Amino acid sequence: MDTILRIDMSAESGPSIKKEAIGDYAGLAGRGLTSAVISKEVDPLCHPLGAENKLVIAPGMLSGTTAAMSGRISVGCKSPLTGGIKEANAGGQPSQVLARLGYAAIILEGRPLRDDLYKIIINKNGVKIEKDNSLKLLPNYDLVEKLKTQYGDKIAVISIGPAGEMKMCASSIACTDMELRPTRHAARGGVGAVMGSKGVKAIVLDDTGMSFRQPKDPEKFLAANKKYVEGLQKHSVTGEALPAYGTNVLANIINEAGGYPTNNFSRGQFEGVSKISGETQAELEVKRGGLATHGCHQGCTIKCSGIFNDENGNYLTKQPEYETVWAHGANCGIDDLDIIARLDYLDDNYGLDTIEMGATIGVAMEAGLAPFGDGKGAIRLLEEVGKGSPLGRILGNGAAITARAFGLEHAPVVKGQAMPAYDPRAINGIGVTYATTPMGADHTAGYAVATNILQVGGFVDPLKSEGQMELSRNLQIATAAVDATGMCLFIAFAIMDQPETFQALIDLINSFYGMSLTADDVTELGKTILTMELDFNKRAGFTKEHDRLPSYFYKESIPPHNATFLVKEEELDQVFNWLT
Amino acid sequence: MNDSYDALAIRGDAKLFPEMNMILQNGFYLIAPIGKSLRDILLYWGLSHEYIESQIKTIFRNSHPVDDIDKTHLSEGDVIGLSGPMPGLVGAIFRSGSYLSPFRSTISSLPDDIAEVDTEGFIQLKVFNVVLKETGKFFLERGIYMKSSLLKEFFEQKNSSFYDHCKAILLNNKSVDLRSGNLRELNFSSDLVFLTVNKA
Repeated sequence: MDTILRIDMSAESGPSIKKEAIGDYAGLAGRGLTSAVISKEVDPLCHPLGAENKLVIAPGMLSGTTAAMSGRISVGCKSPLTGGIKEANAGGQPSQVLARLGYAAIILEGRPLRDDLYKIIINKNGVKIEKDNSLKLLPNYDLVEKLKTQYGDKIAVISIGPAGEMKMCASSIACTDMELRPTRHAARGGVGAVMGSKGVKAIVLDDTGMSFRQPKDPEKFLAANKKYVEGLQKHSVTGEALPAYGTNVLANIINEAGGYPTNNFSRGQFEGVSKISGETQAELEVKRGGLATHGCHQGCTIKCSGIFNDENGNYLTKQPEYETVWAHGANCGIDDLDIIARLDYLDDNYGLDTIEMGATIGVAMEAGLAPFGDGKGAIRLLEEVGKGSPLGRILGNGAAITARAFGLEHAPVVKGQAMPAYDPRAINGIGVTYATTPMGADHTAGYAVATNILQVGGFVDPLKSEGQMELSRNLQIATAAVDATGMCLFIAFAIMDQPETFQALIDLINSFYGMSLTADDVTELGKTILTMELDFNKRAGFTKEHDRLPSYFYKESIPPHNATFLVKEEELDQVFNWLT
Repeated sequence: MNDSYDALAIRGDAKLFPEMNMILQNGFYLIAPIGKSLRDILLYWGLSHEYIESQIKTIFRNSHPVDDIDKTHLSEGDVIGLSGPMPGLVGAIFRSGSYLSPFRSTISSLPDDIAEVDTEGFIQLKVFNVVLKETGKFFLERGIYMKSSLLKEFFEQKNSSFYDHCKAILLNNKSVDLRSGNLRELNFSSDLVFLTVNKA
């Protein structure tokens, strides 16, 4: 994985390919590599859909190896939604396959001179770029079926749907799963629009004839992987709750806590939660012959995903995640899992971020386009996006633009990106991360926890208010580091509770690369990544005023706790204190 | 407390329980000694020390996350939610005694000085995820109180595959045939119904 593949879409004679050694980017992968390239090579003041922006697709450090949970792929660019740096990542197969093909990254540069659409085919024989306008506006499922007939069923596909081709700010990049369905998405921040602006519809990857990447010390690697997997399996989150119920296991809990945003963030509890909970979803899936336990990539041992069939037992969509069930469910007042599943399928097919679209439809409902709870109305609105109608183009550009178009204050966004499924008024600490992460409102930015990472550099008194800032800072650092490894972020629970599992992860990295990293080094990596991202945003014109929640979160309380966001602005400004 | 509640007894095969379990996430009622600590009440209800310590990792009282079940004393009408440890940053934030609890300090349940009184009352209990799976059958077998409106709604949504697992349904000791969709037979006279589910 020491080759970078650069594809210049601007060349007069058609896209040109250049393979180069990883060079100065050696040692970086996943989010570390995408953020390094974007911060170094992209003018922060460029137009995100212009030729100067770049789209970087990078597997993680351990992708393509036999390490468990190593299948996340990172996608980086300047975001058309936030105007800042973006890293979005996805599960599915492409990371494993691209890494085994030997590529540390694919970098799409420039912009085609004409309105042609291209597909890129990468296998052990090399790289081909072909013009293929027959793929125009194909939704992702149809696209993958067509590519299967041409290239066989051993491929993995990275693609955009019509939303990305129409360069909508809520558009995603789809990655196929182990069943070759386009169900895993690098979703946030409009990365699909950037791929669309490069004129690339699909990247077809085939690693037939390639083998797993080999570690420097195979014996130590095997031992570390064994310990790592044991740790994941024995932990009750990664070994029980997630495999049985998926991420939607959180619905009942967040609702019970009063932090489950309902009807466009107007309340913290949803009356219909038990109809859309993870428990109910799992029971329904099994009853209909689907699966409640399913891995999205080769090497996944947690298997938090699933298969959702319709009432006739036919495939409808992959098991909708917590964020999707919330976004299209409680946030829109909808308590029907079949409607939510249909919306999830449409998002995957059109290539849209389910969080952004759920938040957008919530805003649209408040604007009167459909009543809260109107499932068919929500489907109709999403279909407008797929059609690219004038209304669809407003909606497909996200919650902030939709609120502006309809004259609403209540746009639950930070840096233009919609908030995920936790109301920061009930959970002030998550609001700190929403406000300060360079990514825009993002629940995964400050996600990973390891007790020894948190206590590196001294003990923080969590009862002091600056403790929350310190915690958010450390969480964001740790997450950035995990995102660089290509590991699924759900390993965090096991590595948080079980120091020996965290050590096993470090041992995996060290034995693979022949390094001697410590926990301090991992922290330093995370800090380096965040520093690059914050620097890019500063040069892009972001100031501390952008690290704020919308003002109504400070003023308008929500039941049941009648809570508001209480963290002071000067406290938020302390989160990244190593920069000042 | 009013002693007259309708009693609904369902007997069926083992496959009945996973479906019946789903109703428990809405909440059911148990009688408890008022003013006791949450730990004492969980023990009173029949959960073991070991189970409480090892599996119940996320706890709510009236939507407030609880960090200390010995310093939390229950009043009549309280709503308790029990869950296993949860994924995600926010799942970790809500864990009982979590290092990340400051992130939700504005809504956390605080130690109280509720006095123990010499009376019993209803506490509403909700069980979720792994706790639902592991204790659902236990509570259904020993008997719980449920809102009659919830029960009626639950039966309305069930199709023939559910009733195929039922061997007998008795309302106040009289046999009820719901197989034909005859929900008129389910005429509850009380707001709460005492429900038991047992293997036939």
